[in-house]
Formats: sequence, C-alpha cells, structure tokens
Amino acid sequence: MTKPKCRFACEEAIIPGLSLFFVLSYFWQTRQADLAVLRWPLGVFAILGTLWILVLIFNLMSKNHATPSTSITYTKPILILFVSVLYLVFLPFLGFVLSTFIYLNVLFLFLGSKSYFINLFIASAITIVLFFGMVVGMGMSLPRLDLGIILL
Amino acid sequence: MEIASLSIIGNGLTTALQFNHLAWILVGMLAGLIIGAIPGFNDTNFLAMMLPLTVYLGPLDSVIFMMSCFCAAQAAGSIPAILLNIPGTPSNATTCLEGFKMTRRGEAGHALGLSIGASTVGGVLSALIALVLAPVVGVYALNFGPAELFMMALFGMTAVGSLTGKSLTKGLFSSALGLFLACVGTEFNEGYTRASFGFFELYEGFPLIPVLLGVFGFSELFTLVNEKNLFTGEKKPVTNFASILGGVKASMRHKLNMLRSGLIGVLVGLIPGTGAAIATWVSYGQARQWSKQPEKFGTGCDEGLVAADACNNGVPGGALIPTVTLGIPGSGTTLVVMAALMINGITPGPSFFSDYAVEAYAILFALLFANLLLLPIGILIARAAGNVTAIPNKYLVPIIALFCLVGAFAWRQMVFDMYLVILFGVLGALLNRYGYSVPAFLLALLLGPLAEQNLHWALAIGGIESFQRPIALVILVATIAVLILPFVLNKMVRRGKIQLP
Repeated sequence: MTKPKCRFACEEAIIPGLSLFFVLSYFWQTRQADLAVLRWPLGVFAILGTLWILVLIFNLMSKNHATPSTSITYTKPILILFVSVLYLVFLPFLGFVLSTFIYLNVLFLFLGSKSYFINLFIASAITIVLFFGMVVGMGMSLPRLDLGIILL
Repeated sequence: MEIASLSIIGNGLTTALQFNHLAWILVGMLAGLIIGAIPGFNDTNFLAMMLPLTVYLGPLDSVIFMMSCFCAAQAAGSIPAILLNIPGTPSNATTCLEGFKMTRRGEAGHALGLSIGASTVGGVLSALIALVLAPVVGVYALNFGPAELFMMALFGMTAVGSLTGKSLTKGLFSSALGLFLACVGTEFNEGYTRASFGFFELYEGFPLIPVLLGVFGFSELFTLVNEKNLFTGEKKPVTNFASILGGVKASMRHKLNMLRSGLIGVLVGLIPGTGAAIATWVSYGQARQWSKQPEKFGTGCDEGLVAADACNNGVPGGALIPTVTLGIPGSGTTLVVMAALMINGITPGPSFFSDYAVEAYAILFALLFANLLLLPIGILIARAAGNVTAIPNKYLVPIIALFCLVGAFAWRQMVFDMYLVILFGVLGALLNRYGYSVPAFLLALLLGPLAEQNLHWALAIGGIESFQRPIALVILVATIAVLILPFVLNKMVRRGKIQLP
C-alpha cells in the first residue's frame, strides 16, 4: 500500500489569508484608539492568532485535506455574483421594479431558461408581488424610478 | 421551589390557542414541510430569509412560526431521503439507510407513514420534556451573574466550535474569527467606534440579518447553480394514502424504540453544537444494539427508520431549552430563532422564564401543538411531495438570490446591507468549502458583544474572584470537557462504538 503524499495545499490558505487581511485592516483603522478600547479585540486577536497558526500547521501541509476533491465550475457562481453586484449598483438609479425585473430575466437567461414567455411571466409576478408586499404591506420606501407620470 | 403558578401555565396555553398563533403554527408547518423536503435548502436558510419579517410579526408569532417550521422541516427531510435517497437535511442521512431500501422494494408509502408516525411521537415527547424541563433550567439560570454569563458565552462558542467543524482547529478558528468580527462597531464603555471602515452602517457592528442571509442563503446558491435540479434521482415517487396510513399504524408497534430515540434526541439537542445529525446516528446505533434482529439494520427495516425519525424530531424541543433559558442556541435554526427574539427586543437568557413567563409557556405549548399537527399535515404533504421538489434550479436560484437581497434591505432599508449579503455569501461559501464551521462563526458573532460586556462587568464588580463562584467553575469544567469531547468521539468512531456521518 502506498503512503498518501504530503502536498502543499495553497487553497487552505484562503480563509487564513482573508482573516489576516481583515485583522490588519482592523488594527490599522483603530491605530489611534486608546488601549482600554482595544483590550478585548487584542485578547480575541491572541486567541485567533494562535488558532491561525494551528490551522496553517495542520492543513497547509496535510495528507488529508477537508477540501472536497470534486471539481467545480466557477463560471455560474461568478456570474451570479457579478449580476447581483450590478443589480445593486443600478438599483438606486433604475428603481426597484425595473432593476428587479431585469435582474431576474438576466439570471433566468444565463442559467439556461430559453422560454422568454415563462421568464417574463415569473419575473413580472415576483416583482409585482414583492413591490406591493413591501410598499403597501410593509410600508417600506424602496428605491423608485420617477418617470414623471409614474413612480416605478 | 415554585417554578410557575398554574395560572401562568394556563395563560400560556390560552395564548397558544389564540387564532393568530394557531394560524402561524399552521403556516410554519406548511413552510417547514415544503422546505425540509427540498434538499440543499434547509429550514435554517429559509428562516434566515424570513428574519426581516419577524420585525413585523412580533416576537411571539415569529418564534411560534419558526419553531413550527423547524419541527416540520426535521420531519419533511425524510421525504426525499426515503423516496430518492437524498437527505433533505444532514440529520436525515440515517433515514436514507432504511427508507430508500423500502422504496426500492415498493414500500415507499409504508416508509413515509413510519417516518411521519415516529416523527410525531418523537416531537410530542420532546415538547413535553421541554415544557417540564425548560422552566426548571430557567429558575436555576437566574443565579447567573456577569461572570457566569461570560463563561456561558465562552462555553457556547467553544462547544459549537469544537463539535461542528471538520477539525477541532478549524471549528475553534471559526469561533475566534466570528468573535473578532464582532469587535467591529461602537465600544459600549467608552463609546469609541472601532473599525467601521468609514461606513456609518457599521457603527453598531455587522448587522445580523444580512450576515445570516449571506452565510446561510446566498452562499448555498454557489452550489445549487451548478446543478440542474435539486433532485438527481431517477425514480418517481409513488405513494398513496392507504400505504402511508399503514406505515403510521406500523410505527406504533415500536413504542419503546420511539421513546428511547426521542429521549436521545432531546438530550443531544440540549448540548449546544451537537444537533440532530449526531443525535440520529447515536439513536440509530442504540436501536441496533437493543434490537432482537440487528442483522436486519441497513436492509430496510422498520426499527431503524423509526429510531432515526423519532430522534430527529426529538431534537427541536431539546435545542429550544438552552436557546431560551441560557441564550445559547444548539443549532443553526435555533440561532435564527434567538436572533428573531433579539431583533424584537427580547434577550433570551436566565431571566426569560420570569420576565416573559406567559410567552415562554405559549412557545412551548405551540411546539406541542405543532408536533400534534404534524401527523395529519405530514400525511397530506408526503402524498404531494414529488411535485414540489421538481422546480428546476434555473428558476429557483435567481428567486432565492433576490429574496436574500430584498430580505436584507427590508430590515434597515439600506442598500449597504444588500452588499453585505453578497460579501458574507462569498465568505460563507468559502467557510463551507474548506471545512470551517458556519454555526460557530455566526454564534461567536452573535455572542461577541455579550461576552465582552459581561467580562467587563464581572471584572469591574468582583475582579477575578467572580470567576471562582461554583456555577462559573462548573461551566469552565464543561468548557474544557467539550474541548476534549472531539478526541473521545474520534476514538469511539475508530473503535466502531458509534457511527458518525
């Protein structure tokens, strides 16, 4: 029986890397604060730092990685992220109704729904239900598009 | 010691019997049964999406709705497990072992009936135990001061962190990361705003609802988007009322098994960070040990299925006890329930049963009614389940994404919160992918301010001696014990004494 080879798993450094970035940003932001205010974050940092080192030791050069071996496609997840960010960027300008309607239709189309009629029907129904539910039912002030004669 | 007068219990019962509360039990049941039957989209994700609505519902209706949904989802997770060998929730993995074998034999209806019958008995037992035990825990919990509360927060974070990650270090790291993120926002003592990164929206720290929606709901989309359907099985579920009712009747022949399994569910549910997934494997193993025909386990036998599902529905009652009386949620779903209470201005904890006695009993009675209703509604849903679970992901994913984003906006009406959903969605997906513990991360984020404040108060009031009081010391011992527990569990798994998923 062959022994499992020990390999350098750089993907295991993603979460510790992000954590380190956040911790550094945090202490940069609070560099002028009193020590009294930072006592608790420093205590937590001591624990986090110890565990950070342990996570790297046990996972970066490990035989058994927790990472799933199955290959995944990143195209669609990135697409969802990109379209969602675009939706939020345009939401204040286009208003809730129009941007939500476009957002749903674009995602339906990109995810493989070819029937325009079904896409338009579901997108319209959800947009209308959400709009009236939130504006009329919950009295919320959603971002609206002023077209002069109608507020969308 | 008088725990609660009969009039308070009576008021709790009549409150639970009010029309609006009964209606929310029914709505929660229906939602839970549908959500639980959809693999990959569990009750925690759904309830996190519903969290903004709790502001409008109020604390009691919110918790009643959520607990009903929790109970129903636990039971409904067995439906896809039995019909298509896909567990609706992680705790239904044991149901797959027996249920799907029955389906292959053409006994799908019988298996569904067994599952619903056992779930009802396990759930009712758990609700009754919660009714008796929760107020007692609440009375003793009143002795908790700042030192004890700090130790409890520490215990909760350690327990969830050490038991829910892929490894002990990753689980505890998740807790520590959540705790550090909780350090963002205005410091309570000096009023200094720590690291808001220039966003006034972060002055009070990371808002809970967008974080929950991102980590639970949005992160799930990255997996779902690469699959055509939620279901990948080929066999179409075929069930009829006669076979389902026959199964329910057959489940009643396993009374002792159901009682034992329900009790295991409650006991494991009481321990924060364990949850139903571990409980059902323990219960399944116990049923096999006590069985006269252990060789039949794994071939589609009634005993194994009954043990798994009675235990599965025993967990919600057990998990509710530490959530409301100690402020330590035992699972992701009870974490959302706790968040719903906190959003509505109620902090679960030692004084919950004295400050909100009627509401507390109403919640417990509602839990009982929800489990009783599980039988008739479960039978109807099981009959129709096949159609609901066939929605293609190309429609489902955009709708879930939109609901997560809009749900975050609904709470504070800030577009910034919608960006947070995406940010925490990515973080949640990464945490999940690399085996970190999402419940531990969230619990630490939730309990961080509580731990900081109570540590400050404890040191200001009594100094380090505060931590030498008996309850604080006992909790400290328990904290050390849960750190050792993963090693013991690993050893037991290696020796074949228990099976873990």
